[in-house]
Amino acid sequence: MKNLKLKSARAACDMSQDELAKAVGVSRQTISAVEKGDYNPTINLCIGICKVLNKTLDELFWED
Amino acid sequence: MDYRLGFIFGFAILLALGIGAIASSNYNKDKKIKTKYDERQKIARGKSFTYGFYAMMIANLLLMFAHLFGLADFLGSYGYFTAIIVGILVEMTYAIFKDAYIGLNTNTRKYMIFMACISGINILSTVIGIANGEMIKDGVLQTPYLNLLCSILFAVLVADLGIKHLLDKKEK
Repeated sequence: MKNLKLKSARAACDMSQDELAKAVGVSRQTISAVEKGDYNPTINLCIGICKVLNKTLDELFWED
Repeated sequence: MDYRLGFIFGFAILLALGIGAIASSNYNKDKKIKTKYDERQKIARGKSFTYGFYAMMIANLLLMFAHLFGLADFLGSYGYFTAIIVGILVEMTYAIFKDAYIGLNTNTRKYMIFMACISGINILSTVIGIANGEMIKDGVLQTPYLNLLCSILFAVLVADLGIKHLLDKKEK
């Protein structure tokens, strides 16, 4: 399932996939895979992304 | 003679490890020997090694049957090396197309140039071997065949990386 919340949060911060990947310490393709829903990130990566985008885990990763 | 062979092989392995360490510290952006991978890449690499291992086992099995029916006698003892190369080809191709081959700290362009150079050196060794008539002896392939396999391996690696780079550019 696509993670549109992450994509929109990243866009709101005016960050490219590459910039977010560098800030979190992963490859651009990993961020792309998370956004596409092709990869389920570990809790450590989720926390890292949330810290960079200034969001909570619920806001980015909780599925309603 | 036996202990000399052991010494030569040991020295060759140490030399290869040394060259590998110098090379990796050269094409890694942070000048470190160890290449870094993220969590997704580590999982994909694990899968790539699994598939590579299966491919190597299948190649070995086919080779065994070919030997039984006398179809692979021309390979001599280098047949096993061929199976290893098949395994490595599968492993690296899977890893490349899953974005798990190039590490976070690797300079892709430098890496591709380095691998193209290794392929070129091996092609040159193969050509010299063929020109000197050392490729086949008594109907069995000789050492230049190893150079040929290595040149194919590194050429495929560079081609895979090039194709993946173009696909990524399209996706971006």
